[in-house]
Amino acid sequence: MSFSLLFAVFVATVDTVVSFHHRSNWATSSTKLLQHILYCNLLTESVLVETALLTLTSEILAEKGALPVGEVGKTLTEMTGISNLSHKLKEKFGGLKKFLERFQDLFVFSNDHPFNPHVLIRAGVSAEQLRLIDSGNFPSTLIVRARKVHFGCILCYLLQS
Amino acid sequence: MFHFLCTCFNAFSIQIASLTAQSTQFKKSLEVLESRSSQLADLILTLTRSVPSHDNGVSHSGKSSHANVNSVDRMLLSTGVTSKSNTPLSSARSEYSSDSNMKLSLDLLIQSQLTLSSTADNKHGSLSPVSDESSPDIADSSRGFLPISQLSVAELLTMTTAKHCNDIIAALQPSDDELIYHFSALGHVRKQVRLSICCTSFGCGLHELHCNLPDDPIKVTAIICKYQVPNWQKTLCDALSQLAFIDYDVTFYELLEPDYQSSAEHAMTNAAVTSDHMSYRVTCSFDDLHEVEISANSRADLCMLAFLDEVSNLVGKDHLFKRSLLLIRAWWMYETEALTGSVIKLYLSDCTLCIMICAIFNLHHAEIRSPLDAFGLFLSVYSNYDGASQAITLQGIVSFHSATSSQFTVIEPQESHLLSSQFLDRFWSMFNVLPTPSTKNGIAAVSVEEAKAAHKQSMQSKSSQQFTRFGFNVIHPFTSLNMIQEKISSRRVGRIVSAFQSGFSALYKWLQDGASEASGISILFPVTISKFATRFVDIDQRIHDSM
Repeated sequence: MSFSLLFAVFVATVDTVVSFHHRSNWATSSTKLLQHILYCNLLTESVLVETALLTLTSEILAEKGALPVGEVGKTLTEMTGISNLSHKLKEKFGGLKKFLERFQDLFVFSNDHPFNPHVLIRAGVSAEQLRLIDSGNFPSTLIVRARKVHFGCILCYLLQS
Repeated sequence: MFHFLCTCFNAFSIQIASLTAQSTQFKKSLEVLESRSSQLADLILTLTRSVPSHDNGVSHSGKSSHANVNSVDRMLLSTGVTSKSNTPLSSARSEYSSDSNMKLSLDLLIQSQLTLSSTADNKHGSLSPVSDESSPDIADSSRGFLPISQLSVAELLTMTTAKHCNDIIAALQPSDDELIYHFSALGHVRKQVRLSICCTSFGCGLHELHCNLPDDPIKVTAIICKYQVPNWQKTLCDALSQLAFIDYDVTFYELLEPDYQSSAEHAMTNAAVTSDHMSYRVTCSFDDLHEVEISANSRADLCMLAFLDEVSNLVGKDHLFKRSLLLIRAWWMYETEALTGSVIKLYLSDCTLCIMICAIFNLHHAEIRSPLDAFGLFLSVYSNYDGASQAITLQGIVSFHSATSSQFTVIEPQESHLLSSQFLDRFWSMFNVLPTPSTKNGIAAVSVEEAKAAHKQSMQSKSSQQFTRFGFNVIHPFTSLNMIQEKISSRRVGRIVSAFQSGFSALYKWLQDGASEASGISILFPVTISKFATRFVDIDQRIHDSM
């Protein structure tokens, strides 16, 4: 009886060790999966959701660099296939500019135009440039550089093909 | 005098201060002792819980244990065996009713299972849900709260069986290093897809749930805009062939999302386009080790992953669903070939198999305490499946209305089921995107609920019209379509059912023999063990290191 009990406790201990060792490996993020579905819904089913819109906008800006808000809206319309996107954005978020302005920690806006300013990703801007932007001086080089990057991408693609 | 009094007062206050400090210290040590004792109690409770959470009997004397009988009986009951005098169930009952060590009444257990089985059989045919309320013993043991004093030696020894199964699961489960490698590989593939066709992609295989088999391909789905859809596969395939040897500066993608970062250098070679059920896939070799499958807009796969993840959370019990999924898939992928003499693993897709396993958990969640339980129930239930007249649904096996009809009996979700109607409705909405209701002057013509109900009705009638009946039918719970997309000949259906029957009889024999032999598990998983022998050595090493 005592041997069996000891043996059982030993097995249980080994089992617990194995279980604990692997427990962390089983856990996954369901939030991430849901975000992927929402993103997919936006592009394939034209379902407008905040998180998906934010991800898509970030991707556009990361790829193309600084763009005027109007240009971002145009690209979004093309990609999502929602013909009345601007109307929907106005209805849901008060417009694309207002929507993007809610995420000041993600995006930076230029002061070159009151209604259609350039917008770019904050993470792509250096600390020095951010200091200038915060003091109200938007470095024009950021917009010029973005155009160069865009042109560079096209050139690279043309050379490849 | 005043000085003397002051000195006395000072000395007295110092004494009081020291006493207060001592009492604080004493309190602290008491707290430490209390916390240690609670830790010890927790440890004991954990050990106690781990006993009933792993199943199936072991007896060194060669006899079947109580829990062993429990498992076998459960399987017999689910296959329709009733209590007759010459059945293993009643013989086991007479054999063990004299055992004074059995604190948990075997009679009561068998009686409750018989009652439940008969009522459930009346309701649902071959699948028999068990409710917690009517079977307190089962419910208590399934929750794992039996005090250690109430456990018999036989019950404690059942853990050996569980250990054999855990070894297999632990050996197959992705290790920390493999998860890191997979993360890096996925980042690399996603980056290459973005560079090639300028779109985002996501992992859509069981890797995402961390319950993939070691040789499962890395599945990725690219989310492509409507205007990009034509010829995406050609563009991607051509680009992948070129990109494999070009090093790009893609730091801005990593800026965008850390998931794009790959921790090692990878190579994607042999890109090719394959078509499957009117959809294209790009396959390629990854680091000459793995296969990568890239599909486009596989929304259904993403939704299915979310569903499985949620089911796993609902089942709980230390990711029991994922562990069972891994064990059953391992058996299906590696063992069925040897059992039937032909390759049948491709007859049922991963999603189909997952839904079949979900059905088992949906109906028997209270009974299933370990992956071996799930495996046994899976084999026993599906070895009785008659594809010619029945269909597998999430609510159990149902019959078609007639020999040629594609209409089948619908079982609504019930209270005893794991998956409630609200839960299923939520995922129904996820799988079937609700079209935006039309508005007039900003006011919706119908409410969201009405629109949802109407949409569901129209989708169901549409899918019932589109339903194609084959020799093996698994109904998609959210689209009501047949998950078997290719016509399976009756010979192939026979092979599938024969695999289930052979697996069940092997498992039954193993459990009946006491399941005490360490080598016994090799009867059930010989190919898996030989195929991944090194991984079993690794797991032993890991356990040794952990201890």
